[in-house]
Amino acid sequence: MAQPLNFVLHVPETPEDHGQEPSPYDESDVHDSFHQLIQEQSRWVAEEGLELQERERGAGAPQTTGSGSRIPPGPEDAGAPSTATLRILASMPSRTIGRSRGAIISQYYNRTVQLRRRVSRPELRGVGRSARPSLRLYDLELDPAALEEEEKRLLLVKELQGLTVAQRDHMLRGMPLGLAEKRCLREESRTPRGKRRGRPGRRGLLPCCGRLRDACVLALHGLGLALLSGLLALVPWRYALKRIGGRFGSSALSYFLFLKTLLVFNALLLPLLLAFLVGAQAAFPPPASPGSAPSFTGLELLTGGGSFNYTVLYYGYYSNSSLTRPCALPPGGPCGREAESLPYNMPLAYLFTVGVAFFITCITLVYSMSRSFGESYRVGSASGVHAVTVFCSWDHKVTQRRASRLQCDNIRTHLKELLAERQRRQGPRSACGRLRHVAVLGLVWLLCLGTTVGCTMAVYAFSELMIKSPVSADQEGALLALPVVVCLLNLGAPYLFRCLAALERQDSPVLEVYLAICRNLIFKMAILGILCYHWLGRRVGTLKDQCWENFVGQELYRLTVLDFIFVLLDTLFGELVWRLISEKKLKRREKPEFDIAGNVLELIYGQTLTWLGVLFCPLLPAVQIIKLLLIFYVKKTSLMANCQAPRRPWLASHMSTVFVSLLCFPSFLGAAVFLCYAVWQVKPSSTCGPFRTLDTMYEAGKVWVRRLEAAGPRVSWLPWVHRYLVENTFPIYLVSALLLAVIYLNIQVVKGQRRVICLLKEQISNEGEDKVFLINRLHSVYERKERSRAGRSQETERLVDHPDAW
Amino acid sequence: MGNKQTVFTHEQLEVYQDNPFRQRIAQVFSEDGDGHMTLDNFLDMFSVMSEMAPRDLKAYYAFKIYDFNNDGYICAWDLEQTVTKLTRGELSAEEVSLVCEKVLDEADGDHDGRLSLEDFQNMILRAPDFLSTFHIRI
Repeated sequence: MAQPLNFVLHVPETPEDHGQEPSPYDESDVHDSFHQLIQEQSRWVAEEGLELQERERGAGAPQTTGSGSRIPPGPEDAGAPSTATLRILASMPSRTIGRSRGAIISQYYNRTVQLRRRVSRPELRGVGRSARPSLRLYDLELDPAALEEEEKRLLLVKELQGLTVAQRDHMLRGMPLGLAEKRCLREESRTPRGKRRGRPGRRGLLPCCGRLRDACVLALHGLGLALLSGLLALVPWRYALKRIGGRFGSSALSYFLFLKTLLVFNALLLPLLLAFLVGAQAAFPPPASPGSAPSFTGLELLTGGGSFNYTVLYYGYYSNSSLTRPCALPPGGPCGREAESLPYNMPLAYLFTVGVAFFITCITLVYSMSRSFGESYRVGSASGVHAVTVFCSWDHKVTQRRASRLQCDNIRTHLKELLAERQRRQGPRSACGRLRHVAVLGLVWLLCLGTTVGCTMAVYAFSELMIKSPVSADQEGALLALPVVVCLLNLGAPYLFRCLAALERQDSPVLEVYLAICRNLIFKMAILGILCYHWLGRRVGTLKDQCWENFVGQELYRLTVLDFIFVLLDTLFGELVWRLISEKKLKRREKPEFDIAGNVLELIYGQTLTWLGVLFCPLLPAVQIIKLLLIFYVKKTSLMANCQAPRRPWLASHMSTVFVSLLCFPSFLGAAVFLCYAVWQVKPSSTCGPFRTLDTMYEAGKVWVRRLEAAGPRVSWLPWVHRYLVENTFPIYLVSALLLAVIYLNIQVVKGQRRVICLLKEQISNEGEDKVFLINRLHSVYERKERSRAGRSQETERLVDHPDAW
Repeated sequence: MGNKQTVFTHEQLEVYQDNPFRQRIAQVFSEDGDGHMTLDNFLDMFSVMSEMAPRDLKAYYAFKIYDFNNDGYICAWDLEQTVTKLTRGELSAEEVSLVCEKVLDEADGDHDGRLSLEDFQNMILRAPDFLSTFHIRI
């Protein structure tokens, strides 16, 4: 029989249970299970210490008592975790988020409260005994007074009512609940306002009109829905894009989406020009010039000259003073001096319209570039290429059986390539191999740049030849020579670069694509650069007494039209004929791949031409819109018939960002520089156009400001602004310095964020280790409890079986 | 207006897509978890997989789709199932396990051998393509 033990057992506190610092929660707020567990553990330790003492008494050896405080962590006795452990683990906050609706509602309640109270911190007084007032006020999940789901829901609805409509919709949209529940929540959180509106209305109307009112409301609702679905159907090419995405995936789709974006840019540009320039001048045409205009022949559609010269298409048509009403009497009659002039100053309108159009385009471009950059670039994101491939590479848009099989193959190939790359990278290249690789790279770059320089010189020489042999009025077809040469070079260079790049044998396919884009872009910009020099540098000089602006406008029109024709030819030969050859002659089942980078660069080139030509040919955006529409259908048909999806897995959203950035930086920036130079530095021709009497086009603005100064003191702020902010260079320096400072600050902020992200990652890793440790301890504690309970029940059985043992 | 509910069996839905995750998608969005969707479930599915759904919502449902054993974590077995379905079983077992190992190395933030929802969301943030691939056009 056990002797009564009467010594005081000292159970030292385990460091992990009661630390020296105050715990984040109050004693009573600690999770119930853990609190009970700690008490049980202390009691058990006391019992174990007693048992040990009992047994060792017989042996007579001194004993360390009650040292059960150091419970050895037992990851070695990791059997199946007991049900008690599993129960505790199942109610961990991170587990319950995905499981129960109540947890989701609590989580979103917390988020809503934080959103609402973001600006104000909670007061510290009157908060209770908690050491962390923020938690006390906000947290619904850890509140031990566990509310029923219905009460949580009511709380959530109350919080939602306190948000603005936009915030509420945003919050509701992000909740992982079903649509029906979200609809209910939205209705309930709208109710107070509805109730307030509904009640007086109901009292005001006669009850007999109730049914009529209901019928009207239903009819309006139906009309609204019909309008909405009609609007959705109006979105152009929805079905076509769906088919393309279904058969070829997101990467080929990105080309067509980029085309749509370009259409939007041109559609933004055109109404301004139509309204303020073309429309105005067409409504009040200038007095007819002496001599008859040539009649229309079909060649004008290609060359842009001939009878088009005397239409609103070109700069030369526009008058250089205020618009006048058209004369009803025949020319030469007594119309001249009595013609009324309208208060519409054409030169000023021309300058301002073109300037505002470019400004709007700039803002739109920068906005769309920053938005797509924001989506695709993340601070501190290390490469997680395997995880991204496994989880994000299956394109759910693809619906056709054959296409999804192809996608499967592509993903498999990509995974194999990644694994092979890892193994290859493990053996670093020898110094000799690296040197050779660098040498080959250098050689290929040299060849590409050499080709670029060669083609540029060829274009320059040809243009000089064209200057030396002037073309008479009836030989306008010869003017097509230079554009044809330029387009041929643009067509041939990408194929040459592709052959040269095959020598390089790059490791990374994405790098290959970026290099190809880079080289092609340098080539196209160099050619455009030399053409701009040819127009503004040489042609202005040689066409002194004629209308050089019209000539430049015509050149750009010709380039645009011929570029379209060559795109058609490229599609025909590059895709259709190649497919026929490879199927019939080479007997290969593979269709040619759709070359996304090359096609996108062609689009960017075409858009650059449009932006260069807006000043001299205000209707060029309309031509570009027609061209883009036709290209869409041609490319779509060719894609469906002749091509297959690209083999290389494309980072579609990164590429969209790259495309828009390329559109902004070399393309739009170059066009803006060209425009600024043409407006500020070049003398306009003296025989045509709205600026014929001025030294530069910009002078029209200066003349107007001087006229305003003379007009009187009422608008004196405008000349003041002009003199001190626009003509003075100091504000420009100041603004540039401020911009540089802001950019530097942003770079520092990003660096700091990167450091914070590293620290947080370490912290997460440490927390994970803590969690594993605690789970193992929990597990071992319960295990020991089970064993001791089993042991005790065995003992009692033994006692029951052999009562005379004692 | 009646409250007639139409139930799509997953055989009917299978005709529309050759998607390796079609069964999991049906299971995740169905009410009883066995793949039979009501009209409301169907609408939920298209709402989540539409263009306008925010990234976190899509990440939440994608996590549930890839969590084959529904234990709230993507463990190594879930990953192996995902990779096998993705490649239609054409990768060898060794390659599959190598890929799973690399994925866990890259995405597991708290080093507990499996991906939690937060790890998954963190990884999705690094993949800007996710919004365009986890998308069904209607």
